[in-house]
Amino acid sequence: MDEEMSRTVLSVDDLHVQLTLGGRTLSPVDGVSFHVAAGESLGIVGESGSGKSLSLRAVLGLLPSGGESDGSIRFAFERGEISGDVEQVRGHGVAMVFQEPMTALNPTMRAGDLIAEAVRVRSGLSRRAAKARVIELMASVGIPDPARRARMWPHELSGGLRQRVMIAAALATEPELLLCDEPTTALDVTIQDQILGLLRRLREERGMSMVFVSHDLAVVAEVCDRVAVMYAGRIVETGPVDEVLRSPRHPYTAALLASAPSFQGGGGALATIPGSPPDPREFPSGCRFAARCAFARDDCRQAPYTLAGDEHRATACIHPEVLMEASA
Amino acid sequence: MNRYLFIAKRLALAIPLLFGIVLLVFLILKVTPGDPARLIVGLRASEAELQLVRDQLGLDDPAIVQYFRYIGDVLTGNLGYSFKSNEAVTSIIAERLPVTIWLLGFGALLSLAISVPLAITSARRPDRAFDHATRGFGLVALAMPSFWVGIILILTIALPTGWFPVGGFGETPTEHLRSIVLPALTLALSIAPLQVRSLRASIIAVLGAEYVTTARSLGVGHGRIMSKFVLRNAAPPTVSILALNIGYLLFGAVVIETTFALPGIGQGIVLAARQRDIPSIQGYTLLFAIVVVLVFLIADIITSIADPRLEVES
Repeated sequence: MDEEMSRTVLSVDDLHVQLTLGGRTLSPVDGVSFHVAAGESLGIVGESGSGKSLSLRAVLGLLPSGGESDGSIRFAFERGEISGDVEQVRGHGVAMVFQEPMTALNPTMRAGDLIAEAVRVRSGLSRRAAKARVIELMASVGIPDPARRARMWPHELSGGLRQRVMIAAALATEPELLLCDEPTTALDVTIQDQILGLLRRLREERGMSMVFVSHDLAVVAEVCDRVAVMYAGRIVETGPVDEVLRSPRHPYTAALLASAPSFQGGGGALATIPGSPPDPREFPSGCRFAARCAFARDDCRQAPYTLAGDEHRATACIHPEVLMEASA
Repeated sequence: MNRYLFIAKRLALAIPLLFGIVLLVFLILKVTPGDPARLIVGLRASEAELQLVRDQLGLDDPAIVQYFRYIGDVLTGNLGYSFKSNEAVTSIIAERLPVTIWLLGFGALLSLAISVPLAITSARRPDRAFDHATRGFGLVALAMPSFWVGIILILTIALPTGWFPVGGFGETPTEHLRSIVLPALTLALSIAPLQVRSLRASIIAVLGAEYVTTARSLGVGHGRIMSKFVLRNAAPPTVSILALNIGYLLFGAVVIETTFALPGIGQGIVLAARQRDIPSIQGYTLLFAIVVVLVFLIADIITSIADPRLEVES
């Protein structure tokens, strides 16, 4: 068990993503590193444009056109280590769940047929044999009356059911690592809770590792063991979810927490973060949060980016003590 | 169930359309200058002979009576008799129709065989050498008139090799097949560029869709992504373009049948026009109109089958 826990399923080191749009090149992901141990669930939190979804997509080589990534991405599965060729891991160890279950499902393919495609990738089963497996998978993700629903088109299913179909297709490939790109953002709150519960249960049952990208700290707190907070293309803080939520060591994390209703009991006014995130075309030098930070000092604007700390907890803030003074 | 309802609705919509077409076709006879009876009996016939024919055709009846008589005739399958050969127009059409069906059918198949692989290959790597070459050849093909392409094919393939006849339709199915290759190729070359353009654009659009990313994330191979995820979503716009071009295709058939001396509908309509054989012209016009309506209907049905969401919206 110890040996199993120590295996790092996914190692991402110094990942950069370049996007070329209209002749200009941006670096929305600028030197991101993270590691996911076997059975572990890592949350990546950040606001829109922080580069969290692009980082996740880069792991499977699924960047939009005009996007290119470099950096080291290594996988260590039960069958061995793989690096360099993402085609070898898609559907063979890693699967992904997307944000918009409507656009992520092929409108001209019945729900069951999509899952059957994934079954086929994994096992090469015949259509008939795959059918039984499809219905079993649909039942396992909590789709009622799976045999009937397998024959339905995506537009005939509710948002929650569509996302369950997406999850069933991902599970059909029997992944060791499941990447989730804001899988609950497009859903109603009650459905959101059901899907989160489902993901948590599946992870426990199957011992899957997970990377869960979200803009919502509360959601990440529910399904993740560790969290990495991203801001302007970089990770600014990492650590165990409960510790980071209890005592953030980066002013950006603290500001995020202060602006989230789930962590502010009572009916008091929510804090907002003044200003807006920096334009990825011209990131400022030094700490990229400095312009919006209540605690910024002169040296923050020159500070080179490093995540100071250890495997357990790290922050990019050069003055983390200010937060402790502020809360004391 | 929904799909049958959709098809039934479209069929019902086609009925008033066909009545309108019959009216227009009837008006051909009325607005054409000259006396139809005179056309039949000839310039030297006597007044009595002329009046006899006028009575036979009911040309002295009020126009509205003639119109309803014409509708009645059309509904009972009587399209009149040729002024020239006195043959029933329906049997003239029945004789010529198979040739044109062979031409259009093989032409459409060949055009798909040419355009689908070209569109897929171009869309996989847009704006690369292959894509530019395909587009360039497409423009050239589009700019060449069918009769010229036909003649070039006869000169460069049929005559030197002797594999295909230079004209005619032959007697046996094997001969038909050999006779139809070059005309069908000519037709295919005239419509393939449009198909390539439309299909290429829709494939590129669909390749950027999130559900294609989903398929890739699941490890589905390139070939299966194309066949199961892309083509079915990319097809409807191309089917519509093909349907909208059916008029152009029928016109193409007229030119190509004349070039290759194929005894089809197109050649028939040219002959009838030259001879001022009004019942035949009416028959062909009605046939063309029905074909256009049918093709639009079939395109709608294909589109509704390809995209299940249309059932709900209809």
